[in-house]
Amino acid sequence: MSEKKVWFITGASSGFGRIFAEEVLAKGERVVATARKPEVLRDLIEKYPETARVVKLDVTNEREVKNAVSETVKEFGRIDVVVNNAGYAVVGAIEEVTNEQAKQQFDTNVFGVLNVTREVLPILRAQKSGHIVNIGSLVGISAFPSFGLYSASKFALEGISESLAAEVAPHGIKTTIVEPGPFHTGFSGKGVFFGENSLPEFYASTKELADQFSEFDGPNSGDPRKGVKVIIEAVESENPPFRLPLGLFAYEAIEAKLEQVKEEIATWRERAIETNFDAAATA
Amino acid sequence: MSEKKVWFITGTSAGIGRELAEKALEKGHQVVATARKPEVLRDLAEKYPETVLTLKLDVTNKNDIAEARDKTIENFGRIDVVVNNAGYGLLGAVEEPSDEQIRGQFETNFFGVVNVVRETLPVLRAQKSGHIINVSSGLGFFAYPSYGYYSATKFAVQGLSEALAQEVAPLGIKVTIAEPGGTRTDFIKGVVRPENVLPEDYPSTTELFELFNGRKGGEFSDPRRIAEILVETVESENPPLHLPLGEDSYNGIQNHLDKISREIAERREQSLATGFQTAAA
Repeated sequence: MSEKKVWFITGASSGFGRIFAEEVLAKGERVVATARKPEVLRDLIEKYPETARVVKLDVTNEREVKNAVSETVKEFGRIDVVVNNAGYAVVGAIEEVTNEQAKQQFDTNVFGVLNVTREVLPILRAQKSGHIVNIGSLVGISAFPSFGLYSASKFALEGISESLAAEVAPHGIKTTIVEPGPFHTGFSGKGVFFGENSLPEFYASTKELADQFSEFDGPNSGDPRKGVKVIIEAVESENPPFRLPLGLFAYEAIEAKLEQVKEEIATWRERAIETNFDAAATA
Repeated sequence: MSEKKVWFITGTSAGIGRELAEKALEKGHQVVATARKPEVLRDLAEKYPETVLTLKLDVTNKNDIAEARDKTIENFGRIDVVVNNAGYGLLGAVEEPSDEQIRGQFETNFFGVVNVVRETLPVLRAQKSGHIINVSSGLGFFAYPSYGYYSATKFAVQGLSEALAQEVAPLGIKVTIAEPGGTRTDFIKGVVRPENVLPEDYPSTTELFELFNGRKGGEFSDPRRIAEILVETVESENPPLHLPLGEDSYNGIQNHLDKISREIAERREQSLATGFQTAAA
């Protein structure tokens, strides 16, 4: 594609977001890289003074969202791809996570995505083009124990993305939800917080998950640069996928989950579908 | 089954919640029927003075929940079944509802469940038994245009429930997600319309509203049958985690799962091109 696209990326300070910004800039496209601490992105502007812009953005702050989106339009005149990448995870059984932690998990992972999406949609609709890329997770399809609030936030993102895709397709806007498994991004170090009401005697799963994270973030997990390249390729393809599992671990876990639910519901089918009025009489 | 259980049900003023309370009472169980306006439950209290306790409970209010839980223990000594049924629908494309409407939808449908689960779990844990039933929807598996926020809350309930089921199984506690399809209740009357309608940009909102108010009543499930199935499920040996209710919900879920399987299989190679030592393999 000869025209340089304008990318708007949240959570660009590290991990997928940072690599995304680097890869897209290396291709010569234009990027507004946003982060709560934009200082850490200064090197991008130095390297790409023409095509990189850095804007402070906490996705939970609606004023900052409005500002970042209007800055983007002012600088580059349009927005082609929105990457909703900002997010973090709270680890803990449902009883172990405080109410505040549960609310904050949704504030960033769900309402943060909605804030950005609702702000850019009028622009994309006016352009009659655009692509919204939501970074979900494999646990948005298959939840892990002691990862319930994070999983729920990513499940919610799946649901809203499905509706969004159908709503905006007639406006020429595409939607993709990416479902990564473990990647070597440093996420499990910086992006993970533990429930404050720890109950280790009841919920062994929390420690098990914490132990798994050290493996997840090791070299046996996915290469985030390759992951980002796959996403970029998907965005640039003729018919971008709506759903994109990322990595073998995610792919297999999602596949297994789908089969498991199909089997389970089939076992209960007879009972479950007899819900009509006067089932016996009309049979 | 002869054993009498103590049911704690939210959102019993109407619909599936109300039918479930009646069905459980009919079968001789003890029921704590809760609602934001418990006055509407007076007839239940009159009919079953020994076995029903009707209480005020707004699932977004933690104090209400803690009080209701304590009164349940005072009166019946335990809690066997917790049914998270309270909820409502919010119509509108992603752009259309106000921020407050979106928050409200999550506060009741998702955080309401989190609140009740967190307040009742210590009781179930101490008993080393219990069954949590979260009333979700077929729309917890697939989402319609202009009904995304409702779906998102139900998707979230699915995710939460799946994690919860694995967390509490070792503690002797079961979890079931009830996934009804269209049911003949007043639920649809309670569906909230979005504040910022953009009818030209999102005709799906008007279409869905008309569908909800349409004449398709015959396709809906009977809430009494749903209540019966839920009671049977609780009484069964191995209750399922996922329980679609109604043929429309069952077929919708199955078709959707099949669709995802096909969708991801088409891109399998692309999905897998992310390992540190791929390509060569």
